[in-house]
Amino acid sequence: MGAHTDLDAVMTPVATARGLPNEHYVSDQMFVEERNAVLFKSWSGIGFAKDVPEPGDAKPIDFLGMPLVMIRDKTGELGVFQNTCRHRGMILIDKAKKIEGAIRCPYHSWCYALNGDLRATPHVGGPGNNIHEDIKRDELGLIRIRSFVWRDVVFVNISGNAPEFTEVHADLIARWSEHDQPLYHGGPGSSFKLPVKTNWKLAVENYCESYHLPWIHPGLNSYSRLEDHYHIEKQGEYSGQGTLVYRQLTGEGGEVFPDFRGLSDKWDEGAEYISLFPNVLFAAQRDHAYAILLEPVSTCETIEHVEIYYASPPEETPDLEALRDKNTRQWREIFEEDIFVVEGMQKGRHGAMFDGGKFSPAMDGPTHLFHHWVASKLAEARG
Amino acid sequence: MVQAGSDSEAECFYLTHAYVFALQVDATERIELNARLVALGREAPLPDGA
Ligand code: FES
Ligand SMILES: [Fe+2]
Repeated sequence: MGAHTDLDAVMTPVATARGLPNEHYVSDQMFVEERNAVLFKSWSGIGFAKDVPEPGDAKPIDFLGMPLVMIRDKTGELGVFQNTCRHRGMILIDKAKKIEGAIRCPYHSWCYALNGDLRATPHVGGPGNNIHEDIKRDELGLIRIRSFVWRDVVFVNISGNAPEFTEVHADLIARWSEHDQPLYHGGPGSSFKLPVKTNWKLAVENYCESYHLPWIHPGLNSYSRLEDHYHIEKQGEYSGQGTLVYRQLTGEGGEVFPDFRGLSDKWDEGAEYISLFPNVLFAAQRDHAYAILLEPVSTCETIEHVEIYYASPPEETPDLEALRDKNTRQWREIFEEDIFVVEGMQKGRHGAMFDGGKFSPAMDGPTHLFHHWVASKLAEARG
Repeated sequence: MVQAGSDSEAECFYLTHAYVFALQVDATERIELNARLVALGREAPLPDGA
């Protein structure tokens, strides 16, 4: 299945490597291969913990065709389950809702506790009899999907056999350990979605490079020039870019957002923008953070879910609401500036003679690093 | 053994529905309904704290 694409040329050093072949962007068959070999086998972002804030909150998520549901249980733990009843396979939860007690399947009313345990199986032994020796409830709980929440993003490992999230991403967790403190979502105005007509990988690739900044984001470049950026490259894990001239947003009256607590001087004017493979784009800055979850919808469609976070809860800083709105607008403009390039690169990959492209050894290290990671995952799965 | 169509079967049927809806909304009646069904041999005891 798709095993004909040549990955060897991708897995050489950046100076000689070519990018992933066209098929990886335009072939539905390859989309499925990457779903299985890359997205399901690693830790992929599927949602945000802030969307299920209280015990009983449940939110269904369709991830690459796989029905999942995030549920916060009575103890406050967030769990992810396959959203499929163990009886006849009915979808259990069709829209985000608060579950008071148990999840009742809408078909024959089998009931599951918020932790996935099967609680009731009405009439399973005949009318009025809710037990049967062959219905072993402890073997019929909801299928739990391995999950881990980091910087409010809910990651899952569908294959179930990836090493622990904290092991896979130990390096980035340590790199940003100073930022390991409560992130408060800015509220409804700090959340937006951008549907883009591109393969999900092109959004990752565009985010981890600084090469395009002067051309695509001239506004940003007026104070944050190309030479003020550095590459971030961690083979097999993540890549991105950092800036040395981060400037805080200021409001009409000179107000700024409060800083995260106890950050070292490096963050006064430093900020980092990292693509965490496979599909989440993060920013760490002194006074706010964001996460962009790339939802791969199809070979050529991706939804970018953008969520912005602050060092203090919006309820405590109502006076900063206008500044938060301004911040959302500013980021939205920047991310919108990127749309025509990710869509244009998608179109460009229908050029049958395009050979994956020639990387700049000086500027495209982070991009190549991602290609190399994808190719390695595919090669591993192909055996 | 309960006879089909007996009062007891109707009772268990009714109790089952009441029990399921009590579970669904976390109503305290679930405890008593569970106990009655368990006594009739129609349900498993709720685990502690459920
Ligand atoms: S399919 Fe869920 S109870 Fe039958
Ligand atoms: Fe950009």
